[in-house]
Amino acid sequence: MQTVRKENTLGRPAAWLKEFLQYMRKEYMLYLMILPGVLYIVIFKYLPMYGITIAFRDYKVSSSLFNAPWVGFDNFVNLFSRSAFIRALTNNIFISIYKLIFGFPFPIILSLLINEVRNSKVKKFVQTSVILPDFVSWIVIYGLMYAIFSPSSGAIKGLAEMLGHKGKIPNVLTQKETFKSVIVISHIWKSAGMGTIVYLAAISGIDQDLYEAAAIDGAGRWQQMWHVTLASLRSTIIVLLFFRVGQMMYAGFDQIFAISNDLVMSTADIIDTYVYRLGLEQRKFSIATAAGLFQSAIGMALVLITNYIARKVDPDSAIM
Amino acid sequence: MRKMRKNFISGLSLIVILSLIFALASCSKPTEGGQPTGKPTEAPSETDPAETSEPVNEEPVELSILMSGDNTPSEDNIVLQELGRRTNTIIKMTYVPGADHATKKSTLAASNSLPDIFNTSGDEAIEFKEGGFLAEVGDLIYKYAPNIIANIGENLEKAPINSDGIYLVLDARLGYIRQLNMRTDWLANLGMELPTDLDSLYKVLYAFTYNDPDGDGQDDTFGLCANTNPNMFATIFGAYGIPVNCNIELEDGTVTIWVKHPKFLEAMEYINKLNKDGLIEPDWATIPTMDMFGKLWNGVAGAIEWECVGPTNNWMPSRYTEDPVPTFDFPIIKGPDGSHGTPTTYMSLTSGWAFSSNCKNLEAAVKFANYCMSEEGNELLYLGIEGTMYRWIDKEAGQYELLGEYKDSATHRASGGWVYWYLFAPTHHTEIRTFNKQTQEGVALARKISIPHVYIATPLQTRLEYGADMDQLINEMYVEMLAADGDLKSIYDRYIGEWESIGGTEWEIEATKAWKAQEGN
Repeated sequence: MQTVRKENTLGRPAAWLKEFLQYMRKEYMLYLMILPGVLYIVIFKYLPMYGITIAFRDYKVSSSLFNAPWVGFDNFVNLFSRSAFIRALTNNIFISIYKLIFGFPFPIILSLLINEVRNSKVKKFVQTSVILPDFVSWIVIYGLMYAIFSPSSGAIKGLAEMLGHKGKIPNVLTQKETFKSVIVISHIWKSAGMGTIVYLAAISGIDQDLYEAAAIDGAGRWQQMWHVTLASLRSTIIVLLFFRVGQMMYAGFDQIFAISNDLVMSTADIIDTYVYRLGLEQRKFSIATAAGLFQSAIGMALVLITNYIARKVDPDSAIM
Repeated sequence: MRKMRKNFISGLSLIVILSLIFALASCSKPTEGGQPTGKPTEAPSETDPAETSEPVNEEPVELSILMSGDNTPSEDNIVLQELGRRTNTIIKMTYVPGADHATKKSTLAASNSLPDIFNTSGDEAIEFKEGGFLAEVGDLIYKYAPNIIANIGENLEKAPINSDGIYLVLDARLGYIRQLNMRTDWLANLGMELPTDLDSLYKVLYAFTYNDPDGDGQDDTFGLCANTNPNMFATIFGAYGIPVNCNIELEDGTVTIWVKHPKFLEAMEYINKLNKDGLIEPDWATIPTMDMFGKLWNGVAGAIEWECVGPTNNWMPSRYTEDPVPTFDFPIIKGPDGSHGTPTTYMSLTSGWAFSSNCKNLEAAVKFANYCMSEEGNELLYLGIEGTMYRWIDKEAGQYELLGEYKDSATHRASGGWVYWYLFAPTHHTEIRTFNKQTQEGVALARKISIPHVYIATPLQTRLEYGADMDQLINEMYVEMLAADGDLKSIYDRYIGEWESIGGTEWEIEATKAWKAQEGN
């Protein structure tokens, strides 16, 4: 009995290997062509992942990545014992949720509106105009915001004075109560236009017969938008939602680093800005890496949960 | 066809292999210099001369240097070229904005690629030393750097970081002390005298803001420049006996931070009132430093808390846009109990210039440092090339004039003048030697009335661990109290309670012990 099993186990891999080699001989050109890409991913994306181990080591700038002593989860315990990190985590969650709730639907709405513009020149002009802010850096945007909101020389002050206002102008850039709104609104202003590209591309692929059929059935513009355009965009929306949810723990380092100040830090400090201070300014690389790994792990969990929900609701929309 | 295909496959394979080799080579650690050892990479030569200012017939040595500042010099400017010629070096200068300096060093250290020469201080210097990033240069200094020995002297070995060898060439220059610089032409326009106490200071700042001190009929001025840095109110804090941004010793002997001074709340109430009444920079929370200066230069602000070296010397007259240029004086503001002045500065025992253990020619680097610390070297780094960029009118009196295109300060800076002067600057550096009379008097006055404070030279473990969080909390507390409409004490209590809980109390115990040990108690 044992002998028979041995023959089988020895025989199967041989057949499999033969088949594989035959296949490779036939398709080797394709595999050779994909090799540089695979090597790129392995070398620049997977091998550096070894660096994540410093989240579990007592790493100092002087240590080697390979011989820093292992400390288990000490860096995570240290991280979560810091009230500043808890504050950053809380801010991170709220800012991300606000950006998701208010920022995610905006490009969809904008795309639907642009799609309804019938004059092609106006349509192109609007499309270009809404995309342009995406190419402006946050530093420049902060400069613009400063020029608008400055209580001493800002455009709003000038306008208010022109209208006869004599009192002080509140500075929205320095008020905790308004700063989260400033973050979300400026984020939408900058990124919504770029977000429309994917949706407009998807809209252009919708079969025009569907609109004609809907029109024949008596559907108006609003009903066509709702039942044809939006319905056809469902898969695209869900896929982009996955990406956005996966980025939930990244609340926008560039933006917040550029536009925040000490007066609003208690509401604006996020994990990335905290990690920057801890890692690059204080050289606490292990704790900073632990924070980064925590972000990634939560991001991945959120993607899996979203995917699971999507699979339950609409199996075709799930990505895994 | 078959041959073509074979060639194509061979070519593709070659590309793939080359890509792989290139990628792996990029990822591997640089082998030059090897692992940091904390030791010089080359033994000092016994036969080389100590002189460095004379060009020699050897191949120039390449030296990389990291400096920071808010100027924008050309990458390969004539000052660096001349410095290279005089020291037989090729200088690879990396000049970064001050705000990016610390992060730049951290990333360079993490990739084991710190430049040959860079400045460092405090906790960072200790970490770099422990990590083996700093070269020990004691023998070389004593052999080749008489200017360094003459300027820093016994302090060189007193610094805790240099307890087992010279790793840090301490700053030889004594830092300037802040003081209030007030426009006297505006005071004259308003018929007012220099303020002498907090009440008269308030009245002057009020008049600067609301009584049209420049007489242009516009409501376009305010009293005092400010940003989020408490140093901008150093004189006011000093009137309450508080050395702003410095450590203090309480009556019971506890060493703590300046915001725990018994009169801190009183001082904040005064400053808060200035803000509420609109007497200080309205954009103080967000204004960039250069924009804040701009308000003084353009005749919008009437006073600034800064070392007088800026307002009455370096900015005078080219930065000011008014004609005639403003005039300044330095009022001494006394508080309720007669306290006055701003925090003093001490000869540093914790900051200075370091040589990287990766430096391939430490001997040349030390000779270079020695030249920079000479009178001739510092003149070159501050004023530029004599005869081309400036000429002395009366060198003894420190009077000079800029020449030709370099009369334009922007051109002068772009060419390297006034940019690198603090690189191994000697104690009596060129800037001090060229002060005008008012600035000399102002600097002396500020030092005379300066407030002593606790200065701990040893690194504290609690700061290494919690420093970033503790500092951030104090910054937030200060700006919140400055901007507050309501009760300052509740804000203060909340933040101080948190500061103590995140490591502040632990730090106070460690700092008190260190201070007592340092003072020999």
